[in-house]
Amino acid sequence: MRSGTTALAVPSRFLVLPLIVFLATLAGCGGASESKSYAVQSPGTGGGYPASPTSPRTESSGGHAAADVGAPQDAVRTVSANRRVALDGDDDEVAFQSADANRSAPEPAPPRPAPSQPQATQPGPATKAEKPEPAKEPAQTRDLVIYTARFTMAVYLVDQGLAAVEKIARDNGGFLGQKQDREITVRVPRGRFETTLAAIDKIGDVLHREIQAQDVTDEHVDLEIRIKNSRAMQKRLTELLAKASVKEALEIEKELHRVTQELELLEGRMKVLKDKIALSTITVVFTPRGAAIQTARVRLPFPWLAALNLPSLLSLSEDK
Amino acid sequence: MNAQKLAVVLALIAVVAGCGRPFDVKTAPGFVPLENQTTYDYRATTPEGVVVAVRVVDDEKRGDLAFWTQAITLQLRDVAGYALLDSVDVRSRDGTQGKLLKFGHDEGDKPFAYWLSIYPAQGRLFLVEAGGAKDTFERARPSVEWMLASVRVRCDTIVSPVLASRTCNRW
Repeated sequence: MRSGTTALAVPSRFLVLPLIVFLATLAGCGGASESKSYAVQSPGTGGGYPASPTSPRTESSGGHAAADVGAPQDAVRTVSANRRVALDGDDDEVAFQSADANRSAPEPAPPRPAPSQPQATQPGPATKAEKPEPAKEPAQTRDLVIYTARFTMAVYLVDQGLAAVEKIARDNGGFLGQKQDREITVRVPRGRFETTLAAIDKIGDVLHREIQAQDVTDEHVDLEIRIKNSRAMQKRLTELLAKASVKEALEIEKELHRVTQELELLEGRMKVLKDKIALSTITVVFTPRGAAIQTARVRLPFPWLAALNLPSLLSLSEDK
Repeated sequence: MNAQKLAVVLALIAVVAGCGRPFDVKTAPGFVPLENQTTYDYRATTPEGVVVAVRVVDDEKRGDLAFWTQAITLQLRDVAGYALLDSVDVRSRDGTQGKLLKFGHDEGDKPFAYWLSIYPAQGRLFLVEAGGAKDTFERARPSVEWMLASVRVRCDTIVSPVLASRTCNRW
C-alpha cells in the first residue's frame, strides 16, 4: 500500500514539470505572436499617411489626432524616399503589396488610396542599392561624353582668324558662342567636332591645342532618376491634394511647391547637360604661350634671344 | 721717316686683316643705312619703316644651325606669340648654309612681317633681321630679298687665305 502510494506519487511529480513547461511554452507562443502582430502593425501607424477623416484611428484619441496634423508632411517625405525606389523595380511592388495586406488585415475599414500605402511602409535604404542598376544599363550604352577643345594660336591676323573660326563653325552647322578681341568660342554639333578642328588647324599657326572628352554618364543617369522620381512625386502629391482636408492641403501644397521647384531645377540641369553633349565647345585664343612656357621650360642662357623682336628692330631712335 | 711708313703699312694691314665688320651686306636703293647703332652691327630703313638689320653674336660657337633655329623658333613662337609662316633653307652669298624663318605678328591691331636669317660662321652667329608693316613690307619685298641675298659672312680678301675667313671689309 505504501509502496503503491509511492509509486503513484512519483509519476505525478514527473507530470507536473512537463505540464509547467507546456503552459510556459503556450504562454511564450502567445506573447511572441502578439509582438509579431504589433511589429507588423507598427509601420502602418508610424507610416504617417494622412488618415482618412473616417478612419477610426484619427477619431480614437487626441494624441493620434495631434500626430495626424503633422502627418501629411511626414507622408510626403516618406513618399519621396520610397518613390525613388519604387519606380525602378518589381520586387518593391511585391513587398508593398504584402505589407499592405498585413496592415489591412487588422483594420479593414479605413479607405485608403491603394498606391500610397505601400510607399509609406516601404523601407528605402535596403532597396535603394539595388535600384540604379536597371536605369544605368541603357544609359551606359549611349555615348554621353562632352567634347571641348581649346586652341592657342600665334598673334597674327587676329581679326581674320576670328572671322575664319566663326565661318568654319557656321559652315559645320554650329554658331558663335562668344567673341572678344583675341578670343572666340563656337559651338558645333558633336558629329562635326573633328571636321571643325581640322579646319581650324589650318587657319593659322597653332601653338597649343587641348582637347577634352568628359564622360558624364553618371551625372546623366543620376539626373534621369531624380527627374523621374520628382515627377512621380509631383503627380502623387497632386492626387493627394485633391482628397485632402483644408489643413492637410496647405501642407501638401507647400511640399508640392518645393517638389515642383526641385523638378524644374533638375530639368534645367538636364537640358544644359544634353546641350553640352549635343554641341561641342571650341575656343580659339590668339595669344603667346609665354607665361606657361617660361615656367615650364628651361630658360636658355642667351640674353640676345629675348632681344629678337619687331619693336627692337623697328625702333630707329637709338644712338651710340 | 721709316717709322712713319711702317705705321702706315701696319695700319693698312690691320684694316685689311680684320678690324672691320665680320660680314658684308649691300644696301638696296630705297634704303638708308643708319649710323651709331648699338644693338645692331648694321641697320638700314626705308622711309616707310621697313628695316633690314644684321646682328652679330660674338663667340657663339656652342650650337649648330639646327640648335639656333630651334631656340629662336621657340622664343619667337611660343614665348612671343609670333606665327611661323615659313622656314626656308638658304645660303649666304659666300655659300654658308643658313635658315630663313618668316614670321608674322600683330603689333596692336596691325599685321607685321618679321624675317630672320641665321648663319653660324667664324665662331659667331650672324642674325639678319628684316621687318615692317605687312603691306609696306610686301611692297619693299624685292629689295629686302636682294639685301638678304647679298649678305656674306665669310669674305675673301687679297691679304691671305687665313685672314680671309675673318673679315668682310669694304674696299
